[in-house]
Amino acid sequence: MTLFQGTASTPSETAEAFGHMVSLFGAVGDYALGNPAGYGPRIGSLAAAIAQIGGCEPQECDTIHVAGTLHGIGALGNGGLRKSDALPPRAAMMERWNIPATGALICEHISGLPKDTADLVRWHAEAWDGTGYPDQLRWHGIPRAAQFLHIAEMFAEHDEPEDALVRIQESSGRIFSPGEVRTFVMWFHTFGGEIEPREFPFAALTPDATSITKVLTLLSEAIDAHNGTRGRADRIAQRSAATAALLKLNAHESGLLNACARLFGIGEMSSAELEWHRFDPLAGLGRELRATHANESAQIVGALPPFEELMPILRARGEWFDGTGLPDRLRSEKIPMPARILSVCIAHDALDEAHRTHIRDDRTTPLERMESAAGTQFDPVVVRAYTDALKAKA
Amino acid sequence: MIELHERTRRISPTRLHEVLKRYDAKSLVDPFMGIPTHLNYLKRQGLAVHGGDVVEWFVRVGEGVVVNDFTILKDNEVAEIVEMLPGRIYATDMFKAWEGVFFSEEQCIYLGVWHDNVRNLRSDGQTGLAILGLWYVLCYWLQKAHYPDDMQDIPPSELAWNYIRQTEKWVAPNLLRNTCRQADVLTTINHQAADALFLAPPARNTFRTADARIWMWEAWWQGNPYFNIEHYYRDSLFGARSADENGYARAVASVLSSAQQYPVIVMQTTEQKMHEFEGLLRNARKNVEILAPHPYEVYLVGTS
Repeated sequence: MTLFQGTASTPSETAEAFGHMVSLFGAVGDYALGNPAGYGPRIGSLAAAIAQIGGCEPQECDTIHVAGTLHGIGALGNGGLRKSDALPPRAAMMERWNIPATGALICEHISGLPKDTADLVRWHAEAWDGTGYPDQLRWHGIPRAAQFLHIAEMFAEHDEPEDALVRIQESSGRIFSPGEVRTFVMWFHTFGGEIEPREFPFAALTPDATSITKVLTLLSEAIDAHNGTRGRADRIAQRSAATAALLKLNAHESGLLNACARLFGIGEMSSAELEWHRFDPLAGLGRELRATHANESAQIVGALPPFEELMPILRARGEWFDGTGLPDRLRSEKIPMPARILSVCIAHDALDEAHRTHIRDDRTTPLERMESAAGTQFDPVVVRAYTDALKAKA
Repeated sequence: MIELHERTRRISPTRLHEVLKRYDAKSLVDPFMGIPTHLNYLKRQGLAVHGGDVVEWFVRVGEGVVVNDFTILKDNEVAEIVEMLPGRIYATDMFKAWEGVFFSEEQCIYLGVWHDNVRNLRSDGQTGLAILGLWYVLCYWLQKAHYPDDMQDIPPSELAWNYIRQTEKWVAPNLLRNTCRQADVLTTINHQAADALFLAPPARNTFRTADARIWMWEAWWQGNPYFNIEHYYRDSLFGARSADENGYARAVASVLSSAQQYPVIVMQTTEQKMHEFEGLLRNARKNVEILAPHPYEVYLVGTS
């Protein structure tokens, strides 16, 4: 499987795997914004369809589609949305104006996206009259394609297509250029306001050998920034890889484990605080919360078919080895091995962090505490391998 | 019907901010600021910003969104701007010369009323916000003349109300001193110290090609529909020397040579005109980096 190992045999396979990873990034961005699943591809498809009617070249339509998919990625780690800083409403609003620019910066770091994707992400919230954000560009300073994206976003915000049509027409000359609104109206009357899902334009992507891994790393960094846990995903990915090597997991399972280590934090994004800030990582009391977070990340990731394989692992990372965990009360071998490793790595990282910051009891070391939970919460074989891996590294 | 420029100067403050961050610049001077919404963005990002321009209404807007940290226009204050106030005598024919040419009779009356009301506002901050909000109205009207069937007919006072209320969202403090002055480029540069100087020099013969919306709004602010901003530019360093290419280059060079106290100079230009400025900047600075994210947006960054 190319997606989780970061390699592929043909350029088209690489482009496809890269495209899936980019879509996942977009989906997580939408989740941070509170948008429903599939929101980004929906506005990408719509904007591309309007652009096609507006006479844009197919390549430009593809760029618009990709930019639509990624429009919300700047929300990850945004000061107005992340849990660590509760800003007053006005300051939070101003912070949120930075979402497009942050998204553009991330796009600029992803090599292989169509040219101009970053610009469209940056300017998709600009208003024709100059009252938009973040740059307050006006009139023809805003690329047409960015205007199509903005129109698509407003359309998608409405439940009733007719309401959206009226609202968009009312905004002609203010939020949107009159010419682009006219194009939208043509689209509306041609397709009856029905958004036809458009296949993701994999062919428009030009990834290199490292692009897939790079996107996954950027995504995990963004999730960590959002949760206020900088570097956590990296640490857990490294430790789980070392443990997996000692337990002789095959390349495919190791790839899945690495992806899960980088993505499990998605579940915590919508919570007001981190799991271990509320409950000790080894406390039975935290089971429900951990299961909720595990389930949440499994749902977000699993909603995209290419990532279905990650779902059982992400979901089971809150299970206990003795069968008293949640959400499914799985027991011993029924819990996938990567999930058993992941739960050990996450718990130890949290204990370590608490130990370092003196939030929790200092009398026993985190490793000693982990060992005490072997056989109940954790698989003893995994705990031993984990301990060995840590000692080997030390 | 007045001709409206298709392409106007695009300044992307987010991109400019990214450039400034690379050089660790915490303060900026922009002597050709224009409508200072980009300075407002940079201010909100925590930079100390100082702008200058020869056109007065730009500076007034700067007082609203750059210098001003807290003052906004409350509902009752906006109401006092957008409608005729009972008991006050208005020069409703002040902009009669524009009637039937650019605007309708009703619009011209409102322009007169707004002019008087804005002139009576209590603070510079409020005045700046009102000027900016009403400028959006002017632009809306001029656009509507081009797209009569596509844009809504909105009563003038309602449109003005909406736009003025919107300006409030840009008011924010950054706990630093930010300034705007009405002055020629050299005055602004010499009166202010900062980590970086941002130059987006006006094109040659700017006064001839100035966007109608710019001069028209200055005429509105001055209360004189025949007002011409040509002299602002003529009297400036660039106006006096912009007749030929060499004169223009000499003007840019003199700006650069006056800016020695600035550790970083950022010049924004286009790919097409980059060569005009690159040589001049290289003469003034030892190191020049070119950042070209877009053909219409090229940044030449000069450091010592």
